[in-house]
Amino acid sequence: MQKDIIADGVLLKVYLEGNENALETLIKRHKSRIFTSILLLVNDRYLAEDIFQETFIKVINSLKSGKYKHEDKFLPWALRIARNLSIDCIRHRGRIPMISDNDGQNIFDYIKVVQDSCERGMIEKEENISLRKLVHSLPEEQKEVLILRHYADLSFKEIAEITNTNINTCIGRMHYALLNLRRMIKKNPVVIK
Amino acid sequence: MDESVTQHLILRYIYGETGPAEDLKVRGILSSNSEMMSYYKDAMEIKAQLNDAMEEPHPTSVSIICEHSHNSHTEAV
Repeated sequence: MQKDIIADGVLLKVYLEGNENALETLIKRHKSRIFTSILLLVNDRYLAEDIFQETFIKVINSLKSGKYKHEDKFLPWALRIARNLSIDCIRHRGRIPMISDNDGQNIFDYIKVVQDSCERGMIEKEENISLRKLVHSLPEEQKEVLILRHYADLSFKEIAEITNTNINTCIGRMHYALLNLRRMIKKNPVVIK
Repeated sequence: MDESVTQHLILRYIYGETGPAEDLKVRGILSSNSEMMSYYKDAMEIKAQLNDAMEEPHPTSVSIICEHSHNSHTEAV
């Protein structure tokens, strides 16, 4: 038997009436898609956690101040906020000088990896990190469409609206993103299972 | 039909953005065109790998958000 799912719009209404559990349900429902989208855009788990929190704090503040327009779907709206915050963060990070090792790797990446595993006890699957690296190495426009279509579950039409392009351009970028990923995976058969 | 147009149609099919008539068209193409079938299988394989790479935020992040919401609600009351 299929379980009844309460629509996002209903949860938002109940939340604004004072039921805090409705927000938790919304977060649980969409957290993976939103977090993965952020993580793939900024390629840094710490930053992704911060942006994820900031996204939902903006969501909450907008909801409570009555700024949320009900004609918007919740997920595309939240993802638009997450995307804008991620892009702001990438721009800001671009101005911060990096300290690199001989291979050009930012040395803080190593420190973060160690801290991540020590402090949080989170063990990421090696193949996930590798696939994430491959996605991150795609050209920006292809990466963005791939993230928004695959992880954020936005339609090509919605992506076209967000990115100010047309649907055919979006589908074309997705096509090349998948071709490039396929090519990179073939080159790294050991890395990706 | 132009190859890239067909590939775009298959991509929309893979992501559930085609209507019933287009679904039939794609199934016809896949059963008769081995190159397009190969394109479809490759795309589906990558799609599965991307699904496996889905990540979750740390529970602390969710707690911080819920706490913020609770506090802002309390302030408003």
